[in-house]
Amino acid sequence: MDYLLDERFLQRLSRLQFMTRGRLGGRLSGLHVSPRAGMSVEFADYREYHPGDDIRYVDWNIYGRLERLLVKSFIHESDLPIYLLIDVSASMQLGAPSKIQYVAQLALALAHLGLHSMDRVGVFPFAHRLLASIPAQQGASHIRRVYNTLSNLDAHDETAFEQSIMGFLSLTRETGLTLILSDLMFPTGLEEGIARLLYRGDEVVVLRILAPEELDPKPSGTTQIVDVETGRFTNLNLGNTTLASYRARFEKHQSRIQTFLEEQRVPLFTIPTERPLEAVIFENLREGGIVR
Amino acid sequence: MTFTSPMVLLFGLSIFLVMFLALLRPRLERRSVAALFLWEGLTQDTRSKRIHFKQLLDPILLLQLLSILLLVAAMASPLLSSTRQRLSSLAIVIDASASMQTMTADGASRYDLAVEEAKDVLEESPALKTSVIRFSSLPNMLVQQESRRAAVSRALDASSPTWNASGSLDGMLNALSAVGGLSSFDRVVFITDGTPSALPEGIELLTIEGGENLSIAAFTVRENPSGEGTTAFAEIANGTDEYREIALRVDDGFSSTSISLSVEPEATQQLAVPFPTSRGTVFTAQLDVADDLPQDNTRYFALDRALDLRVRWIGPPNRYLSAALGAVTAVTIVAASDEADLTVVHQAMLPASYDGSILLVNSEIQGVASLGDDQDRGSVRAVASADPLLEGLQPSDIRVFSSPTPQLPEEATVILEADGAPILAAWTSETQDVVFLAPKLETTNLPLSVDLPLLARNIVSRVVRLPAPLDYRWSHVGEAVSLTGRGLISRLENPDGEAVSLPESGQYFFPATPGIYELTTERGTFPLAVNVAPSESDTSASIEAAEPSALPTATTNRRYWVDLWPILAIVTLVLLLTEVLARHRASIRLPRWSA
Repeated sequence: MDYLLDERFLQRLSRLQFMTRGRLGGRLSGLHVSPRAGMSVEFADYREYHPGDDIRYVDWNIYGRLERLLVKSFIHESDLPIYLLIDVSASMQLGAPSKIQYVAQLALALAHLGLHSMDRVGVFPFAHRLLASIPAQQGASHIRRVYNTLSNLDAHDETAFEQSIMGFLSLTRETGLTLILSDLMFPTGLEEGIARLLYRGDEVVVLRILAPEELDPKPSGTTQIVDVETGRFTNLNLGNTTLASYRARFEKHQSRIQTFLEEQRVPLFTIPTERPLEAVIFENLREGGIVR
Repeated sequence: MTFTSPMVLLFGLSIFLVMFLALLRPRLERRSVAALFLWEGLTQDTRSKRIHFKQLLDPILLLQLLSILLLVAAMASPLLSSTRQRLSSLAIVIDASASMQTMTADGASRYDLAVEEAKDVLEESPALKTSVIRFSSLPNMLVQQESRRAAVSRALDASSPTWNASGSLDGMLNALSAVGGLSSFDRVVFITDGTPSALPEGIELLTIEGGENLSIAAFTVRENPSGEGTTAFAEIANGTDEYREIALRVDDGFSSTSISLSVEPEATQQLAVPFPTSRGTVFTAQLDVADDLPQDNTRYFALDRALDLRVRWIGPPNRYLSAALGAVTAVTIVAASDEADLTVVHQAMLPASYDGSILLVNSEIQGVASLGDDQDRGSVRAVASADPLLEGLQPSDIRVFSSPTPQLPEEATVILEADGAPILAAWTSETQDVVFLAPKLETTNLPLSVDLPLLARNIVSRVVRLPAPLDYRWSHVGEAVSLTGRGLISRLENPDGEAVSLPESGQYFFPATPGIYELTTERGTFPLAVNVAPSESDTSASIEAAEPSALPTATTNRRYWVDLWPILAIVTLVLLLTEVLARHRASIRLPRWSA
């Protein structure tokens, strides 16, 4: 698999950075506003002095005028942990190019974007559970590990989303921007998993990757429909009526996901694999306020 | 276009079998999906007939059906009308007479060369229908209206020459008429080693040459007039172009005589070999030479001595009748009816139960034939002039002064009559073979004419079928050899001692090889000599000339045909390869969905 991204695309990515709606707590210095007061030059607020505070931050002008010991606090600019949760269940092998290929390239682009803007990026593949992951780290050299991991992704097994999220939460302590790259082709567990993430305080973005034939399947007569994850099958005569029925059910499923995520203020991007990566990042994500 | 084997087209019905099997074949396309819950329980499509039809007409099935149709069409040997290449009908007449067994300098027989010539003809003139006649004095159809060239070649390879004599032109035309006649063929080729003096227009001649031959052209044995011993006569033919010193040995079964002689090139020499005390019946003449047709270097002759005629006489003697019978052959009077060859009833009454061959002279058979009263008669008239009993007789010379008016059975054939009254008649019943002479001999002029012994000879020949004079002719391979006149046949053996099956009539047989055959009857064992026809020794012999006016002319309206089966076979092969490739590609494409 060739996951290399061309130079022009990388240069364009370098001009972008992730945006967050709230303040997420990074440990290291970065370009994002931290919820904690910090050491930057940008004034934030005053608060009462408490023993132990650094007396360098006591505003002596206020003390002279009001005889109150107030301490100046400044905005803390920290890095942003970017968590790339990548669905590598068997359903991701479908499509041409396969969804797993597309997701790997998209994740690589997002990782490059994050690392270039001093964020820490971690890669967390999941299927029936959370698989071997790369913890979120910073620095240009980290892109090599990310690349190696993404280029060796292998789609297999069933999806257990909630269990995988639980594994992810137990592995990471910091809140961050969690990008879920999945086809969301599982009937249950999505709501529970997203709720757990939001409960911790993560900012969640869902990128739903779908193959064109999943969005608009073609008629093919009597067909054995096989679930790649479970091996179960059903025989259908795929004519226009049947496919219309499928599309209606798909729309219903999509609508259920979309409604839930909107309620949780989680942005959802449904991306067919035929859509160019540049368009996804520079149009969908930028317009969606995920990057700027 | 036409088909050489149209019945093969019925195999085209097998496409229905293939379509049936295709319908039975699981036709499910396999499609892998990410989540089955989106597909389960969907409203089934019942109106997508177009898709069903499309599935039925999958390209591989269409290729298979097309392949079958083309293959069946190729097997039916389609022919396209054309201005060249293929005749409508071809006849090859291949000489299979004994001379074709002559070996040539190539180490092959003339017949082998003729077969090669015939194959060349097949190659240069492929025909819609080909007939091959193996031609000799007994022509037979080797291949009849055959469309497959390979089958014709196989039949030619499997054929062999005979020991028969050369056939006549009439025989050839008769054989051709069995397959439609000379005029029905576009090309008729006659391959022979002879030089026919005349052939009908439309018959092409291909001549086979090679081989040198010396032969005994004639061989016969006669009893000496004195009654003591025999003399053998032989004619030696030197067919080569040089003087040849030849040793001839003649054997009578008891002793042999050898003679050396020098024969000029392209000449014959006759000689007589006396056997003064011989009582032998089987004579063999043999040339001690090496040539290319050894079978005519040995000749056989069987001296067929006359048999006594066993006669039972009933009624008063008649010296005229006795003398006439005695003039035909030696007569022995016997007393028992079952020992007699012929029962002569003279002015007597025979019981109806009497069986055998009977000559009734002014006699009656109880309840079968009666005489009635004598009346004056005049001249005699032949009612059945072609009857064998009248052979050699002049009915107009016979006078009958008085004769009875007989009552004869319905099946009787009246041969001579006088004033409407039967004079000579004959009939055959289940147990009796009767010749009836109505008048008393004394009331006719028969005792004074030559007609009585001739009549007696004809009666003897008819009733007992004895050979009247000794027969000095040769019997030839492939020609009918008479077995009559030697009694009731029990067995016939060929020169190898094997029994020969006889035709139902039992009166003749067709020998297949030269040599001495042995005929066994209740009267003894008789040798029968059979030789290769002397005409076969002369390679320059011609088949008989035919009247040009009687010959049909070959048609000039030739129809030609082009074989289409090779083209169809190639197209079928290409289609089958395409099908294999298509199937291979289909099997490659599947994993893209199912990984």
